[in-house]
Amino acid sequence: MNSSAEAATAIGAPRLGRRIALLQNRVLGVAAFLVLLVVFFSLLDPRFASLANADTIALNGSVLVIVACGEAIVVLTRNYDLSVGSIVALASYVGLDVVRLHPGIGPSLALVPVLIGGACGMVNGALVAYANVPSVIATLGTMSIFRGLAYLYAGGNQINVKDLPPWVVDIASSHLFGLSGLVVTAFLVVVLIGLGLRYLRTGRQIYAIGSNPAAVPFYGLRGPGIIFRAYVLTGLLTGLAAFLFGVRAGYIVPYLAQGLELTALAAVVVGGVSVLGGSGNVVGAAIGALALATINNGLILLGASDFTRQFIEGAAIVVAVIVDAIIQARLRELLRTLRRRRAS
Amino acid sequence: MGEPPAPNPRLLLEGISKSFDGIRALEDVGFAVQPGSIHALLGENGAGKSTLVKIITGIQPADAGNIILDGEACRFPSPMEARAQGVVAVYQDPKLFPHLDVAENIFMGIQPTSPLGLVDRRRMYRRARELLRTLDVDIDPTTLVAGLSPGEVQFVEFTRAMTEGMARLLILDEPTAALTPLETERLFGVVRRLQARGTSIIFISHRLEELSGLVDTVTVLRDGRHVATLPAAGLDEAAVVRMMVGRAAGATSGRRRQRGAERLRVERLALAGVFEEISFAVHAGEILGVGGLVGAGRTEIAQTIFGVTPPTGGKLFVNGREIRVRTAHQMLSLGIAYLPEDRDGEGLIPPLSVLRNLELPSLRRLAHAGIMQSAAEHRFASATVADLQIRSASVDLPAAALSGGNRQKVVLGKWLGIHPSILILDEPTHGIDVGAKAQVHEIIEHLAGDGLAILMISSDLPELLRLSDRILVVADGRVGGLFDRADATQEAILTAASTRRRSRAA
Repeated sequence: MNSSAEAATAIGAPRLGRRIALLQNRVLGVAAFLVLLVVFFSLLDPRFASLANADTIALNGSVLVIVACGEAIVVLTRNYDLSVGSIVALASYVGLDVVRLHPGIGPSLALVPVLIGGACGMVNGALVAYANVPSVIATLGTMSIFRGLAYLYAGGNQINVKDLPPWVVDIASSHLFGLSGLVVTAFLVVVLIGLGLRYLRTGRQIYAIGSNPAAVPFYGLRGPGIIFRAYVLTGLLTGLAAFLFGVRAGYIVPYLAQGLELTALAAVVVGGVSVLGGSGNVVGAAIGALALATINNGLILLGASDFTRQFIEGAAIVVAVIVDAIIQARLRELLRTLRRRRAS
Repeated sequence: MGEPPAPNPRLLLEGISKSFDGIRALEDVGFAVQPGSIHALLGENGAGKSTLVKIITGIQPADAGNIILDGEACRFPSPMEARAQGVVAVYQDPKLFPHLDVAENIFMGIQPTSPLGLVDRRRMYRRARELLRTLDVDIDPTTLVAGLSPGEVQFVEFTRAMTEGMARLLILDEPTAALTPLETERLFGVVRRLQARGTSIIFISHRLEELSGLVDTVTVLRDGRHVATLPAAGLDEAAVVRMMVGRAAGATSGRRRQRGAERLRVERLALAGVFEEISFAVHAGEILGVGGLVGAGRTEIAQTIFGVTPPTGGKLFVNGREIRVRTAHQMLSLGIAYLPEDRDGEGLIPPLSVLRNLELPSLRRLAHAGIMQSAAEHRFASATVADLQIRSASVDLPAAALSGGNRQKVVLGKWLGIHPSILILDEPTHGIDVGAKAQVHEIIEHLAGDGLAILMISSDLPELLRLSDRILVVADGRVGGLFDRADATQEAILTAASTRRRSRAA
């Protein structure tokens, strides 16, 4: 007989409940993974464990944290958004070009890339929620469409951040309580989205539709509306990330943020958001993003090539999904034991 | 229709009719449900019970007829409006969110909020606790729904029905199919408490027996028509079955088959965490029925034998030879075919034509040097269609265009094309109409007569008793009993189905 099944039958109910809760909430596991990474790279390279390097990781990680939060929202609804990299390119190029052409208006123009991101999100949302296009296909299409639009708009040009009004660079290099404005922004995004998912009805509905889409109409909820809102929110967050990404890049070109969708998805999955929807949270996704930024930084310090980093990022996704599958199977087994016990 | 409605029925249905693609599902159905009554709605699969519920709760509109609730005509555009008027249905397959906890499920979409529009979680859990207590249900609102027993899941649905005050009408669609007797008892207790508070309850079932002592009125539907609405007192099962079936029931075929050599034997077969210690044998020309509660592990056993989920323990013999089960492909080549319960999802490819579906497992045989031979394909398909009396205008029609019974025959024909020696049927007549059901029964008996070994899972007790030579009962992932046709009764099977594991490590 299988020993784990017997073990599951043998443990007491409160412990069973605790184990289930532990497997459900994966934030602790992801955080432990991050700590392990830090220890690992510190041992390999003394330069890693410096304050300056921590700052670099935080800065590089911040943009990814914001995009990963957005991606997590869509993944919670049991969908994907593969267009976030292209949204970053389109929103930052067009948005910052508008800023360049209207230097007199001031910081309120920072909203332009955010709104462009939101518009892209509406397109994705409309395709997935109302035209019933499977999300992978729909956003694979818009990934090309948004990227193509960015190239068309740019027409071979690029934007130098130095040509933008000074407030742009001021925002990007601002500090609050000794922390970079970028880091503070990412932190606020995680807190606000995290609270919103927990305390807004829409937030709970996002979890509900990912958990069991078929049940949603029986609750009088409009499933397409929930999915549409999720995509728009993802678009807005990606637009915000686009502004920060562009400013930090220095030069804004249409091939900006190529492959970011995969990194964002990796962060979400590493962060314990189930690819099957309904479980996980943005705190996990954010820590997942930091873990990927840490790996990236560590590999650069160790002198790994671009290709190696790409390889490792791909492997991270695959391993994370396998770990997720193992945890889900274990969880199902424990839940089955619990159900049986409750029936008798 | 017929009997005059009482002065103020809770629900009055008049002349409800509904067709799907020209096929009558309901025709001129009318009856009344009194306030505070527990009303049984009985009928065979396909009699129109579920369609009627969908019409009452606004999931589907009726083609004609009136729904009158406490004297007021109403036609709900969606279940939400029905719920707002206190009309709630609880379905056989629960519509809950497994990743979320009990309180979240109870209040999804109607969460109490603070003035800022934020979900007031503390109030939500407090209210959930109160509601569960009014129903005298002992569930912690922070429990994950995925960890609830089938009965508890239904209680969560009931509780949800109570969030906006007492429901006026609660409809339960075959709620006991997956419940142990203990849970059924708890369910009846909760139903009685609701009744005491003035809720009318419609209890859908295909057996009156299980509802004896609970219901006060019985309505029987047959083939989409209203047969009768009668007081439950004095009604016996036989009379109800006669009304449901339209003929005397219990006519076993009586035809005795010759039991041949052993085809399939399993010894202490186990799948970790799902079932264990399963031992039985099936012989050529024999129908071994497999009974038990929904969720007892019967489908899992069948799928393990078929190689979909290879076993983690025990032995399996085909024609006396021990086999290490690895894949379904391997088991097929050994002559085992499996007809899944979900025939549209797993049994056939609905948009493909009848011919394309039929030939799928036999492609190699119908090809010459790898190229399909159109003449052979058509010969094969036409022969199968004729053999099984599949009613389809042409073999080129998509399988989706056929009725449930005919789709099931296509699935059968598909597997018969490879000439299996062991056939595993999972709920072969679930959800198909009465006429087609009799035909499927005839085909199954005919196949056994031709020497096939048949393993038939069924939750339909009369079907199990009518067709099986022996009946294996599975309870909680173990063998609960094995009966010869002569000793098998509904009571014996039900009792065996509800045995629990005696010793469980504390």
